[in-house]
Amino acid sequence: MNTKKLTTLSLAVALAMILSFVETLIPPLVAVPGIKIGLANTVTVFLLYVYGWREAGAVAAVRVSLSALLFGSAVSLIYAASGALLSFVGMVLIKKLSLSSSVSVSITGGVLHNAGQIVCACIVMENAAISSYLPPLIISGTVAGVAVGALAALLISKLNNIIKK
Amino acid sequence: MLTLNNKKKIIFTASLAFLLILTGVSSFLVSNALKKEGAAVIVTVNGEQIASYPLTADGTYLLNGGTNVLVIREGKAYVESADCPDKICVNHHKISKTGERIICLPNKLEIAVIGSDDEIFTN
Repeated sequence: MNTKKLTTLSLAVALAMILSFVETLIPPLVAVPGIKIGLANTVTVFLLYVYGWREAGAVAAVRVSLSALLFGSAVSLIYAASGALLSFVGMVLIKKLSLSSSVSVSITGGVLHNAGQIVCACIVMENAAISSYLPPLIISGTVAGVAVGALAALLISKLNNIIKK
Repeated sequence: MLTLNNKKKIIFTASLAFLLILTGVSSFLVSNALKKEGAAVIVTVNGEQIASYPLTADGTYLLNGGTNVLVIREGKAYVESADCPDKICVNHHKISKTGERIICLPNKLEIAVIGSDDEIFTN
């Protein structure tokens, strides 16, 4: 990997971490745990289109681990990792469809991220009741996914040539 | 550019978003319609039941050594105060139907409503 790519990916990790931190500062609009805009996913979607799934996956893995180490706990790492893993696999698969776009990819990512965290919570609490949170999380994940996808599309169109040069 | 392929992509994305929102809304409406009034609440910490209280009698209870304060009034239960950082349990709406529950993840505490035809009525 050349230096430029290494620097760009490192910047992406830092940016994703900052974005997820900034999100914690926004007061929760709805009293459901786990509702968030998923701004950090913008970076993952962006990298998926500009580089590829390997780079996007590496950055996502590093970002989740570092965020959990710095801001969270071992428990938050399990939740974040399960959400991120499911959402990443889903995004890569959806992207392979010719009809996909950054918005549909990020919608998939957002919804699956929440779904992954709910499944993880069900397993950890040994209780399937948490799944009652799924409906509002699916809706908010979709809406947020649209916004994040649009943002990523904008970034991709502006930065793609600069990064690839 | 509104090429045919671009239009198809937009339709695909819009359908996906619409389907997901439809799923969310309908599952929410169905689960709401299926709910029945509850008879009591069961409090579990870390998966183990520590208390149960009938919804018929008003009362204020200190749960889990006081980390969460449960109030039962007029047949509904809610968390009046808690020591958790996010206070999601405190902001939760009052629960009274079977299956509804208030969860405080930081304290691993759950308050669940059960119906008169459900088991376990210790206390």
